[in-house]
Amino acid sequence: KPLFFDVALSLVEFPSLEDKL
Amino acid sequence: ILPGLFADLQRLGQNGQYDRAIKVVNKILQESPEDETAFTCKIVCFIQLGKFEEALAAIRKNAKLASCVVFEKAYCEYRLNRTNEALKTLDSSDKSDDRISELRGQVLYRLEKYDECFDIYRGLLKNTEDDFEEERETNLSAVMAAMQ
Ligand SMILES: [K+]
Repeated sequence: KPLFFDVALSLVEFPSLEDKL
Repeated sequence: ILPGLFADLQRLGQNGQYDRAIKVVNKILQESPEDETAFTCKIVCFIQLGKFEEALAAIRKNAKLASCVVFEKAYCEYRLNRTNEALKTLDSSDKSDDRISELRGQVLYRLEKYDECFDIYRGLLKNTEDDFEEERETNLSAVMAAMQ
């Protein structure tokens, strides 16, 4: 099976919290 | 009280302490149940902990905020091998940001829809500039191999 990366997981991150601080 | 909790949340997220982050985010959501940012953080925590069912349950319970976590919802479905559901969820998104396209590419690959998938990776490689270009090139190679 060829290599295939789960790039989407790397894009699962907190939104910016700057205007909440 | 909320700015302090958000500061804690930011620190815990940066440190990858997602179990503790969920406790903080639950406090924020007690004070401010419709906070989209906090809710998104909660779903991200579940995903980072591999708790995809929990994430989907939280989204089901909070229909009002579901539209702000379309990418995250589809990602959970993808990881649970509910691939057709994931595609439907992505199609329901009114905005088409790069994250949606990224996941759509992965979903289409799994569904063996290689022509559409190829077009998405070509677009992503043209339009994105981040740390994952090599990974996308690898994925595009896998798609082209599958198309042979
Ligand atoms: K690029």
